[in-house]
Amino acid sequence: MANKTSDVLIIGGGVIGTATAYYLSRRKIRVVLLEKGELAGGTSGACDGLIFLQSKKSGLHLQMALKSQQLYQELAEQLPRSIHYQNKGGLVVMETEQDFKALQASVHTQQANGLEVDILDSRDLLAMEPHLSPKLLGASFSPLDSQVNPIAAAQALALGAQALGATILAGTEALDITRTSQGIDTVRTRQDRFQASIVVLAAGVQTPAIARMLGLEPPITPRRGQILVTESLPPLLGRCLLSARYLHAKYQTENGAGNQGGGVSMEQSESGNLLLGSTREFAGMNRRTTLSGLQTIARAAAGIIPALRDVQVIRSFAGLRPYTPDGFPILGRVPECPGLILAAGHEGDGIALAPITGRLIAELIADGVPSIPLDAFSYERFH
Amino acid sequence: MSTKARVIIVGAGLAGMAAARSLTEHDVKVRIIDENPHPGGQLLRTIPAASRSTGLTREGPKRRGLALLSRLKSRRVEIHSQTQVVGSDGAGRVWVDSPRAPLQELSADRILLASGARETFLPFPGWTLPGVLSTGGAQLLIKGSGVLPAPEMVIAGSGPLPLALAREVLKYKGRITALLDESRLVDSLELLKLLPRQLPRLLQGIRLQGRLLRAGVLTRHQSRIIEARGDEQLAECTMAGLDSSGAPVPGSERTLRTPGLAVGCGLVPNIELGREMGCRAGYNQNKGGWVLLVSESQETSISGIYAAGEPTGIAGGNKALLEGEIAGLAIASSLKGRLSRKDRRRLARLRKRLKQELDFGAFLCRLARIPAAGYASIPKETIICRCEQIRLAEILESIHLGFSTMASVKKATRCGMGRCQGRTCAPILQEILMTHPDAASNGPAPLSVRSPVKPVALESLLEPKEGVR
Ligand SMILES: Cc1cc2nc3c(=O)[nH]c(=O)nc-3n(C[C@H](O)[C@H](O)[C@H](O)COP(=O)(O)OP(=O)(O)OC[C@H]3O[C@@H](n4cnc5c(N)ncnc54)[C@H](O)[C@@H]3O)c2cc1C
Ligand SMILES: Cc1cc2nc3c(=O)[nH]c(=O)nc-3n(C[C@H](O)[C@H](O)[C@H](O)COP(=O)(O)OP(=O)(O)OC[C@H]3O[C@@H](n4cnc5c(N)ncnc54)[C@H](O)[C@@H]3O)c2cc1C
Repeated sequence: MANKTSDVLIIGGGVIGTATAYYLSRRKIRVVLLEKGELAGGTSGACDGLIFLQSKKSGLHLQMALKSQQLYQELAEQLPRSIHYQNKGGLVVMETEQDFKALQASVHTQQANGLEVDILDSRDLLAMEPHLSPKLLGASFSPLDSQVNPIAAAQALALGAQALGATILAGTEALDITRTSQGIDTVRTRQDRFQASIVVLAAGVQTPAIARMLGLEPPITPRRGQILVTESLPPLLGRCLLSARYLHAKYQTENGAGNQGGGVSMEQSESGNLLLGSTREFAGMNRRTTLSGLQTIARAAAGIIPALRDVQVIRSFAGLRPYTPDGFPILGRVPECPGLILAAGHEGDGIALAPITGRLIAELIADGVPSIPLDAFSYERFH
Repeated sequence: MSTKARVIIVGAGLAGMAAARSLTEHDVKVRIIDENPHPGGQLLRTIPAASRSTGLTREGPKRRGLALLSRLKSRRVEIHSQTQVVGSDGAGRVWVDSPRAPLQELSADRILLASGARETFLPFPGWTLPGVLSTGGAQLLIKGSGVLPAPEMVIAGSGPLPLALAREVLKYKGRITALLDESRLVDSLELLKLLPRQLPRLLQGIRLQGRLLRAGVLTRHQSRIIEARGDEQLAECTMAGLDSSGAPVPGSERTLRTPGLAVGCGLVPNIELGREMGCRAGYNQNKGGWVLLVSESQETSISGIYAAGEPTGIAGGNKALLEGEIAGLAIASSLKGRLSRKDRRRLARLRKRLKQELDFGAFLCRLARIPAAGYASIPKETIICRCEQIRLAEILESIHLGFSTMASVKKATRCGMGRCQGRTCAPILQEILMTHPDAASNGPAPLSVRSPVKPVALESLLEPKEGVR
């Protein structure tokens, strides 16, 4: 067993861990990242890639997302490989009068919060997206909503960090983590022992399992999302799309209505495949897809793009959103455990928020204070 | 379809039919599900419809397959053709996709996976050109429609399929420009070690070679097609001789003008459905690569799920028949209690014969196997993943960047993410990775499998699942 040291040790190679590695490396901080499987082998490889500003709660959440979207534009230029960033604009479509009322209210607050967003009626909507169902009542549209390939993003962020000197170790699981009263002592893997003055825990839904070894209980639970993948198709959908009902489900904490309510998210990737998603269920660590889950998604999707009835579904998959009780991530230091930083619990927003998360954590480590205060995301808010 | 049967058999090939027969004999109600228009699997698919009904064929497994089929028909065994099993709930219920009906979730007390095998290939530049076929595909075309894919053909590859195709081409009065085989002539002689049991096969092979020779076709051993060319359609290809490691010999290239080329390098087991259901798989080159691991009773690692035929290892029709029968008896006894003494003796006999067929299977797989040097000599511009048009160069770049496991190459390149979900390219990608020093240390690993294991129309997900339709 060799002893390996670095300034910062990151546990987790999803978008959050790799973004943190990248921004730390840009600050010339020596980073080692441990990933037990593949980069993006967890939730970041089993999700959509929407940077959907309209779906964020007004206030700090939206402010972070806006900043993150700007960072993605820079990353698309800076990183050594494409992240398939596309600033397509996004639609939240309305199917019922009830959707219409709810959306109108939220659009007003978003506008007041500085988000560029408008309401389209059904005619404008069809002119913009001719394959959508004429039965839709309209949509809200923001030109800022964007899309990225999350797998490519995690890989490119890791390569970018590596090019700046970081050590990225895939296939390396953190098995054990010990502490002293001053800080974290050692992180042990099958082959080596790692020591660093700061450990960043970015292990998505597995964060609690590791934190527990330090006597901490971050309230992160897996919330499953199932996705259908269609065959590659000619352009059917030019923008990212959510149904208003999907947004509603997102902020519901119970199983039931949220999942069965029929909301849907859609994006057409650069390769032409449509990703249709996604359920929100508490099913433990089970990553299987279910027939009823897939049927719910298919029904909702065909209601929005009728031509989808005839396309072929080639795969389905499920990912586990790292859910917290208030829908916000847990970011920053933990007073009762010096040397530890948590960066996890982004639920359905981790892709969108990855760059800003990585950047703020890097600022916290390099400057002591991040440019956006992290108090609202503290571990203590739950304890 | 009612939602419950005692035993669901996936695949109406030799293995599935043999199992159905022994189960039916024990009064266990079975339901066979098969995606093809007619039951019979790969082997009976290649019998023209006419002789299918008359039963006129001399070959052992085919004859026995036809007999099984008529037996099942007279017993009114439930066979659903053009119906696919595309997934499961992970707890013993399978997702069934049939024409004109929405996807259904069906349960059974036992499930038998008898899903056969598919061909595999050694890619070369131009293998995606129209006019280049698989040996199995060409055979199907000839038998199915009675027409040759082209009046003149080059046939190349490894294992028995190129030879079987050559025989068909001659039967249908086609011309064979060249018949190339990867292996050395002496490799085939290993069959002698399996004598006397394999004498019929040896004689069959000799007879076939004699017929080819009389037609002026000489099998060229240790040679390979290394490129195919043509504007939009195959016009010519290049063959090369191979050195003892299996790499093409520089300077040995020759151009062959041909409108038709069929290639195939043996078979790989269809285990995707089993893996989707959570059954353990293992890698074994003597069985054709990744296979489902089964007990002596053909039961997989998941209790109640059995596998028989090619999914447990490539070894031809006799092995499929034997394993099907064994699985049928084992399932019957697990449902009905202890077998009669007669059946127990029968099981013991079957298992003994199975061992001999497994030896033959290992011989077949060794004969068909492409050595590492073959994969190492694929030119960089060659397409590996046909669905996503991913070239070897992109895969090598990904390895170079440090993405060198199957899963991370897939993530970095999209190799295996397309319509066929890696059915064709995954076995090839794996062999390529194993030739690469930076990737080989990861060991073999299959790609992840998710339902649907075969594409389904989104429409079939639209109706509620419950109830009979
Ligand atoms: C269906 C679905 C759709 C989604 N759509 C969107 C969307 O459109 N936009 C959006 O912004 N977000 C979306 N999300 C949410 C987003 O995917 C997640 O918030 C994000 O991927 C979380 O990233 P992460 O890095 O925290 O976790 P992960 O990606 O899970 O990364 C954690 C990593 O830690 C590793 N790890 C765990 N334990 C150890 C250990 N002991 N040692 C070493 N490594 C370890 C894991 O292997 C894993 O790779 C979606 C999620 C789902 C499920
Ligand atoms: C392309 C090809 C050509 C061959 N040609 C010859 C030949 O000329 N001579 C020879 O001796 N042997 C040939 N073989 C080998 C021969 O098929 C086997 O030796 C033997 O038939 C294996 O029997 P089986 O029951 O295991 O599989 P198979 O006969 O392949 O039967 C499996 C059946 O299951 C079906 N199936 C698979 N998955 C599903 C699913 N998810 N849902 C529904 N149905 C499913 C398949 O379509 C098939 O009908 C060939 C094999 C292949 C793949």
